[in-house]
Amino acid sequence: MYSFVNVHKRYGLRTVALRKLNLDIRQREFFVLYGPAGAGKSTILNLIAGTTKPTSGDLLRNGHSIVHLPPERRGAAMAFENYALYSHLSVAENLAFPLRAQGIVKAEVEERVRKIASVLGIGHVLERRPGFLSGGQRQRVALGRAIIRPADIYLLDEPIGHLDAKLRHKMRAELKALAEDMHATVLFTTTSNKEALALGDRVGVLNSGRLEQVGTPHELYHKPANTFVGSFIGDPPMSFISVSVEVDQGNCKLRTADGRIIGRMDTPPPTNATLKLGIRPNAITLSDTEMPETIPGRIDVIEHLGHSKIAVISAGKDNISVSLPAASPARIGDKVWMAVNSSGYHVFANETAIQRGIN
Amino acid sequence: MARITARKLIKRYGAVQAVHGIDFDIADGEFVAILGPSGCGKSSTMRMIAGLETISDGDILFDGKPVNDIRARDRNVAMSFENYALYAPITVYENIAFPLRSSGMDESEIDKQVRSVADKMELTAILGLKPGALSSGQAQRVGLARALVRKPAVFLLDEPISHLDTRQRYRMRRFIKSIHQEFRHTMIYVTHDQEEALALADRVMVMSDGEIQQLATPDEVYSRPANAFVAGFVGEPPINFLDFQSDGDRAIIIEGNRIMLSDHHVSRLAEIGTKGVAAVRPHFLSLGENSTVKFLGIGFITEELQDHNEIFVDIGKTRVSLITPPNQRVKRGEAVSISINPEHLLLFPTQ
Amino acid sequence: MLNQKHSFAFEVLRYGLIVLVVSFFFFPIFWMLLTSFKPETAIMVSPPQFLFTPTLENYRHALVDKNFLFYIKNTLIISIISTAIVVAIGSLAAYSFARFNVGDGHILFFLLSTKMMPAIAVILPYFLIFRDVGKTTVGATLHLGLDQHGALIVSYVMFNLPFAIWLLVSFFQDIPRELEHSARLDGLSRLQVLRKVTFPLAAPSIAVTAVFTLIFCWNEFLFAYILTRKMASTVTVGVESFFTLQGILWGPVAAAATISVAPMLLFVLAMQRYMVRGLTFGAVRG
Repeated sequence: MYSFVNVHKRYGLRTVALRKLNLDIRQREFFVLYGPAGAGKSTILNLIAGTTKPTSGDLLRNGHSIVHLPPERRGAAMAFENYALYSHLSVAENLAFPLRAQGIVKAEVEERVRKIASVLGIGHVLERRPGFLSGGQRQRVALGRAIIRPADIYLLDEPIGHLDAKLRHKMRAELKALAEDMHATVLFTTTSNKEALALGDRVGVLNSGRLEQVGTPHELYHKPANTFVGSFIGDPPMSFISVSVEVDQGNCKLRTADGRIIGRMDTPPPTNATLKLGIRPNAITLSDTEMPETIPGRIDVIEHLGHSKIAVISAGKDNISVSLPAASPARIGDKVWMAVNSSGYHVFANETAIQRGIN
Repeated sequence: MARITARKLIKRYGAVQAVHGIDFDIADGEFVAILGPSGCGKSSTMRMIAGLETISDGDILFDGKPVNDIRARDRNVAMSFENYALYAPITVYENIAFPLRSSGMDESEIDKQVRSVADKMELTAILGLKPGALSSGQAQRVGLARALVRKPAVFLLDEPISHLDTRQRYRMRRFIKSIHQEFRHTMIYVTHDQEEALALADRVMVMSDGEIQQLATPDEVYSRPANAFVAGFVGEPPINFLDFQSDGDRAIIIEGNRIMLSDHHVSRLAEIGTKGVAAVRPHFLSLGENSTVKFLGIGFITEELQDHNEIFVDIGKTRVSLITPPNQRVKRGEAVSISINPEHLLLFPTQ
Repeated sequence: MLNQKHSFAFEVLRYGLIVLVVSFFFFPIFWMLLTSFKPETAIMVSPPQFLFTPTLENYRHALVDKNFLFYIKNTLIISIISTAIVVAIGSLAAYSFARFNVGDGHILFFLLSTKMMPAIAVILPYFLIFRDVGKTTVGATLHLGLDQHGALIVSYVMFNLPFAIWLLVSFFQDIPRELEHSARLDGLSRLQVLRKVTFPLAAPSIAVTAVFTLIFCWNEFLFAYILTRKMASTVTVGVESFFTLQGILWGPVAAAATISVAPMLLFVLAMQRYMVRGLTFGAVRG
């Protein structure tokens, strides 16, 4: 188990990469670090690898600090975002590199290189230099070089992020199967919502060096801790509507800016908090006539996504995305009424999630 | 505003031909996305329209008049680049004003134009900042504003949002769409991302190997792809391909399963011959035996994406993916049945 | 001008211009070669002669009478040793500047700034230093005195090192750090990483730096002229010795110059492919 204890990381004097990070990576879990570019994902990998040191705080492996251990004694294997292949060595030599470095005998090195190459489907390019490989092949070599030797933890830095969509889709499934087979501790970074949800046993959502929430994909999707997580998990993203609360005999009604009731909650929210409702695009039903507890809007944009459509509907100052089937007759300019599915929204007070109660 | 026509348009780089004599017609005010993988000729095509690349052969016409010999700056074309191409040492205001100053407009008119476009692009608050202080979404909007302020006849966008994160991409997509709805320029949008192309464009031009594979509405490109390339390139998750052999002229065999074809498939099969590929979208496959047509497969992976699951199953030597409700799963190595409505099969010749 | 079809006249003009510029650069070398085979009477005549009876007399004079090969030998010793030292120190120094940002850029700037003054400004201090160091025991053993090889080698190292470091820093910066990080995670120590990953990757760039340094040492004149008399003189000083009180022996000068240019020219031609690759070299990226 790896534990970050109050880790700060600054580059130079001004650039803060991580703020007070507290995080446990458990034995044999597939942990995904998910966040936008520059959120601090790679920094966390590099801290574990020992290729950079924390500005303050401690990093423990099974309870012992490893901050002062050099990279070669960290027991970590890493696949880098830019692949970091040795262009002066053949694919076979690239794969053999970590084994040779450990002083493993030649016959065994060759055996293991052959085996990993066949697992990854790169057996036919072993004699080539990396410069003569396709992007997908390079990515596999980089992955192979990371997993060819036993390690306490495998650090995979956006290993499939630069592949084209088709290959990424295929590799995502293969990577998940491979991780199940290896049954190892894996730390994986991504900017893709789908990769995070599909691969992670647990996911940590990072934003500007701050860990916003850690949890299973199910927890992140169904109980986002704040508006950032709400908007960042799920595709298409959640929309937000500003609401105010009206307490009525312990029953709180949530009203939009023009006074319409859009939801309810059991416990009143903190007073003077700015309230927002987060609604997933599949939690709204449209109708062309007014019904109780619906809010009116106008369709501004319709986006085709092949199997479905997204309508972007303006309601007052808010824009709300709604998923529609591809065959939906909705058109730009239509006036519609939106009903929010009672279990399909989240309430945030000052950007932080609050319990809605059982309603 | 302009109608853009290409006739037998060819681009060569030395001995290599990148665009192989393509023809297309883009209506005045239309929004067309050119979609394709890298190296398909989409950027060359756009750059020929912009006048940044010479035309090796054939013609490009604006409103029926050839523009082959008209310089880029005289074509009244604006272009926005992936990397923004903002001038770092000057403010957002000056960046937007830049194209107007070089045309020698007087100061009060420039001010009016800059403020008007800045207002529409929600940039008024940051006019005094320098590009270094902007977020990537803001910088992209400034880039668009600078392109728009000249009131171009044609607006070209080269992968403008491919490097933004999901949320910003959604926001910018809507922004670009609303610009088009407001200004009604002829817009051409180059991208390798099928979702952007489908979401934004009136028509999508799918390119591969320097040729147009299909030029049609997003719905047609998705539902009635012209060939296997278009079928495979458009749609997320990607479409599944399965090899088939004909069995008489009304049925096909896929991995040992005999499938009766409906009438429109029968004529299609006659065109294709005895062997080909059948394509089916992951949304049209389901787990279990709820259709007459089913395949036996071996479970590989279940991805729980919360609002739905994506399941990978090996049918013979072919791995397919299917979209299921969140409660369905397969285990590794488990024998499962997969059902398909044959109406949703698309048949293509083997590539 | 968007069409690539140009008129015939335009093409003629274009190539004519190219030929003109190229010949402007190559004419001196050509004329040197021509002169080296000319009899004395044909050299200074006006208008210049292209047709004459070739003779090897100039080469005989340079090689036999003046023993020009002696200068070549000196130059070889001095240039090769200087280059080896420059490359060895330079690549290690450049690596640390590139990776550890030693001195936050200030030291690197200071090093480079030593190139801003003309060589002639420091030649007197150098002369005095070597005159006195040569008299000490250590200086004498290391041949650091005036008219000794060591003095020139030290001067050339001092003078070439900053430029070599500056060149190599940017080469090293182009090698992604991840390549080294990856090797360290695989269990190599810092020095092993340098030996097995970084330097093999940087080899073409280091070769380019070596070629530049070698060329500079080979052609250097001022230091060689001031710091040597006879025993350690290099080719440039050797050529100068043909400028006698009786007049300049243009024929032998041309012959000697040809002899001294030839090795470098051949060397650079042989290295050309490698150098172009070195100048555009980068590790494999995604």
